[in-house]
Amino acid sequence: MSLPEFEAIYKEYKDMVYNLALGYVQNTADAEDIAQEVFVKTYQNLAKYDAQSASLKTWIYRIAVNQSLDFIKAKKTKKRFGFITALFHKESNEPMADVHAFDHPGVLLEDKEELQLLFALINELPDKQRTALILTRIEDRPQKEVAEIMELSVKAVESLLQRGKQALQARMKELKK
Amino acid sequence: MKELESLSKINKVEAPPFLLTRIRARIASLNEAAPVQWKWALAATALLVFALNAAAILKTEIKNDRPEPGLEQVIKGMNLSPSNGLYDE
Repeated sequence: MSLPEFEAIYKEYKDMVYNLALGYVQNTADAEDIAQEVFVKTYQNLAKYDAQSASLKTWIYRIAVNQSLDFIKAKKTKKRFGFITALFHKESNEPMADVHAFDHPGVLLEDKEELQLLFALINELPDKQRTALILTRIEDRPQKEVAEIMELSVKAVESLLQRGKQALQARMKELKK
Repeated sequence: MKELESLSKINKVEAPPFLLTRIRARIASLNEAAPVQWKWALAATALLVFALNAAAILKTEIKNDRPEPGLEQVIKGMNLSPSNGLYDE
């Protein structure tokens, strides 16, 4: 694949990928890392892309979702490992990397506190419920498209959304107590 | 769920312009990585060949230092000396 062809694809989908990544990590540094890896993978695997199975947009969405979830898992593992090494090197005053600094550029200051709490709860959800919520409520994708991206049925997506909302409501009730 | 409606307050943002520069650099490094890997593979192969040769040479030398058991008996029986000296002193 030629670089000009790739850069045309990049130009069309860069904002979509970046905003999706922000939905998962809520800070610009991590979203940039994720977006970079998404497009590198797109470049490496475009020869394998089958236009019959999914649209290019859906295919790139899938890469972005998987890359976001992998990034989060890797960062949690790194934090766990950092905690263990800190036990053996207590003299080090270096702060451990913050897994989750809230720095979403699309959130106004007056909404920050409210959304920071909401995202903290969304981030606790299982991956599939979280993905379904992000794609429908933040990315505003119709359920049919979400089902294609997640390679599930529409009913399965509805069920994930329902369970996700119930889990969030339950957590909010706990916090209000 | 009322609280989820707050998610609609999130605005879409543009990806930073330097992101493409980073991606280009990553793709360029992927293309460069292959020759570096070949160098490592070549070095590892050379090391392996050297190690095998050294082992073969050492094994041959050890074998040459010790005469065969049957030959040892003949040497002893005929009072022959393994050294190159002509006379026993």
